[in-house]
Amino acid sequence: MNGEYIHTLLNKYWGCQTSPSEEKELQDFFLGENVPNDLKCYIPLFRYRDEQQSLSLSPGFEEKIRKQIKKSPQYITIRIFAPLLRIAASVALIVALGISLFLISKQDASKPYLTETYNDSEAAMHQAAFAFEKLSRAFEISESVYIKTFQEIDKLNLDWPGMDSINIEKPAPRKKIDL
Amino acid sequence: MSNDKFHRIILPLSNQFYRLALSIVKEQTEAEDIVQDVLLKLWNKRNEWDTIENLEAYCFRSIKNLALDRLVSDAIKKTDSIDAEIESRTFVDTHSPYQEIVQQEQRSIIYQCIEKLTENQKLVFQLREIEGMNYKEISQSLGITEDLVKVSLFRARRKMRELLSNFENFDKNEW
Amino acid sequence: MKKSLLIIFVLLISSSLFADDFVSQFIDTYVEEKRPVNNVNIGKTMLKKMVEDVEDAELKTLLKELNHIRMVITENRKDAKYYFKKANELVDKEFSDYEKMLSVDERKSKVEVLFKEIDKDNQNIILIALDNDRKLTIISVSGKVDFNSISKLSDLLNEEIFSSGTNNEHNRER
Repeated sequence: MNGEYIHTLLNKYWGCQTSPSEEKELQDFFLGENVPNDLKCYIPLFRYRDEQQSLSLSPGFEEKIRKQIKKSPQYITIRIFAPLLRIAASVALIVALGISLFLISKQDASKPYLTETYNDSEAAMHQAAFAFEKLSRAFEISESVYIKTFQEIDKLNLDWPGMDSINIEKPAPRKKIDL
Repeated sequence: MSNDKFHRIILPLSNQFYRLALSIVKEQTEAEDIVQDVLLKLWNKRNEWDTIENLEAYCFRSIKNLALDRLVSDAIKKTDSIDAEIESRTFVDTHSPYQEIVQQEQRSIIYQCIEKLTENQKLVFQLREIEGMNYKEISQSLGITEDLVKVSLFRARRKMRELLSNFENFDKNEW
Repeated sequence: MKKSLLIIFVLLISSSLFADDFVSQFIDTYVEEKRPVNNVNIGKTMLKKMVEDVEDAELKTLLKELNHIRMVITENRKDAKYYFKKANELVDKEFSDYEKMLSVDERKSKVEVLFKEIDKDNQNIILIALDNDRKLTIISVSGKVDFNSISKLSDLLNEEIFSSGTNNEHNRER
């Protein structure tokens, strides 16, 4: 291959003006025998490309995935939203009647409840995280309010020991408190 | 229909996903886990596929994100060491132990150079040099603008050129 | 974002079919068509699935101990205020045997958490929060819960979501 051609092509490559097929050309060249001395420093780059392009997953990976997919159970999605209708009300009504009759017939008389499941647990995870974060922040807010209150009391610089020792026979010196 | 799409379009890309994950976490088992996780999660979301414009690019982005997250959360430090498997795999065309040493040297040089690239440059470099994607595909797969892709690739290649041509310490005659 | 299948039968089924937790009763008694709310119910089945899907052992144990998580949320200013009043009414009427765990009445937010111990392994917690006078959140959690398990659950669930990453693309600055 013409030495000058390669130099030109390589310059195009540095300038990001080569097509993928031209880049393959360079790669093949640099993996071959006749690399001129002044370009030998670039061999690692093209060898790297070649190596990496042939990396692949361990055999049987796709099969593993297919198996896992077959396993995944199908859950029914029921989301209960008090209406802002997107589906024609009549359709929803019929579906609802159908489902409600179905559920009514399944009710356990002693403890009637509505069961619903989602399609995937990730959405539920987000909702659960929201719920617990809200609860935990509520606790934090109340904690910080308590702390603020105690800080305010602290600022009052009350004479606690003094107040403790108040008794009729030995009146403690009463300090004036600036509020 | 989604079943078919998954098997026809997404699964065949598994190796590309794997290579991208591997370039980030630099560990084979981890990279495979990442691909598996993303594929299964994607499958579980199949009722949402209609809302995703470009499913393949979405997958690449997910792989990238998960791999970067794992890198942070698992604190895998592999920047200095190279997976032994990868090293040993490429000794197919060596003829002598000396050749092996030379190749090992070359490999370590290139890994060092790549480490000097920025994160975006590394990712663009990976998708262009290894997967042969065009700018548009890379921009969608990484979630960055095409302009940024071009600039990153330009800088990455320029850096490689600079670093490689300055490596005076090896005996090029043996190559 | 998700397509929601709207079911009106909530209003068709009589109240006896609902569970006796706060959120279910609230929906049954007070929620009106003209004032729509978001309702999320995570029951035992879903909790079991979540246990399978998470990796952290501690999180698994904590989730196993829950019976349900139910929520009602509205971000409509008027509805929020209206339902907040109604929620308090419901507490006084049917849930007066609950203990007030905390009650914060600040300028911006009003939060109340109520608690009842059914037995050693079964507690009910109700949260009613009005944020900025315009977002109402009602949460009912049942199971083995206490102050500590709640903060643990919050941290671990957040970690779980973070580590699964795929949903968080819009947060990426890379």
